[in-house]
Amino acid sequence: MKFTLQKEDGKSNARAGLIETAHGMIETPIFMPVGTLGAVKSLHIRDLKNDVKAQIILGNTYHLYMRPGMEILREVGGLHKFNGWDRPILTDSGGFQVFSLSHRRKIDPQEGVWFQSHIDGSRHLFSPEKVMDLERTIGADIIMAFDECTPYPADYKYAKNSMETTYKWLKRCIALLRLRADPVPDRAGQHL
Amino acid sequence: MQGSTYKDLRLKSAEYVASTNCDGNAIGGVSVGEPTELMYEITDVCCQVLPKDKPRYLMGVGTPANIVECISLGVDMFDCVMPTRNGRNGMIFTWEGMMNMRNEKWKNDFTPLDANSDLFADREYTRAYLRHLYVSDEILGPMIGSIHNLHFYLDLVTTARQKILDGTFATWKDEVLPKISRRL
Repeated sequence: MKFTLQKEDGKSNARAGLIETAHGMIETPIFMPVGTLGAVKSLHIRDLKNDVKAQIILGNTYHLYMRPGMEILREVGGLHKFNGWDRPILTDSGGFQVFSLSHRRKIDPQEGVWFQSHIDGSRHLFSPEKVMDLERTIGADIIMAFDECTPYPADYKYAKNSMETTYKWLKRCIALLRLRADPVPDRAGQHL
Repeated sequence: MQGSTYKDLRLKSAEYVASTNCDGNAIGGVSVGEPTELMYEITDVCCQVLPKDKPRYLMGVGTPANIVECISLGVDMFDCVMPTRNGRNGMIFTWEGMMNMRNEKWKNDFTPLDANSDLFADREYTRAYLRHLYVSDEILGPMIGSIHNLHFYLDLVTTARQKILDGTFATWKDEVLPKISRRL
């Protein structure tokens, strides 16, 4: 992903820019329709392109990991091939969903988060390393680091710990991506 | 970035994240129930620290007015379930304000949703018909509401971008904010 700042507003901090990804350009500021499970609810891909004029859509790592699951996405060759959207995709790490949806969470800063699926109660571990690999399998153009999403309200001590854990996890995400750096040119677009 | 609503933690988090030199930076842990004014303050603190040559993503924000305000603070990317979720429930966002399509008010309004829109659905369906669809739980209602709202959100950010490029963003923002924030 490459960003070019095109213009800064003189009277505010607003900016216009251009993001380049393997699946095309995005003009910013931009709004990204949410396609949690690989679908923007009730809209055809054709509607999104021709009518909404969406330039990029979101997918969610937590939800896609639960359904359809990584085996299907690996087999088909990523979310673009599965849902037919050929423009950029950004995946959220699932940090927010692990905190808002799942049950019996146990945060281990060294490891990651153990949680129970909101669908069948099965136990799973999301670590920064695992989430990076999940997002690579989904094949998004822009991937998000695994964070510990702080609920509101949170006391100062909790917020500080959670912010520091997020930073530690970010560094682990970056280290994993460096380790995985792929020599094949069309997979060079693994980004944070 | 995290750090809840504590400015010093947000500042630290922004400095940490900026130091990693990633391709882009995201502000998370916002739009989780905190007051709007606090969300703006935190966004401002983060944008002041984040590198200018990297895109900034404000996660999960927000209403049309929130988006315009945060563009003016220096945010480049947004996502939110609001256009689709509210669209399914009958809440429609327009350039003139928000419309609750289930309202009795639209019962006899046979004018198009928006006659000047370039979206087919805005020109082809009337307000009274859309109200009927929602009240009768017809699946077409949420479908029209979703495509309408997403089209409006994209129209909003595309227009904001054009105004920034034209150098008229600040004037446009002052004009548009009271309108998009009101309830019709």
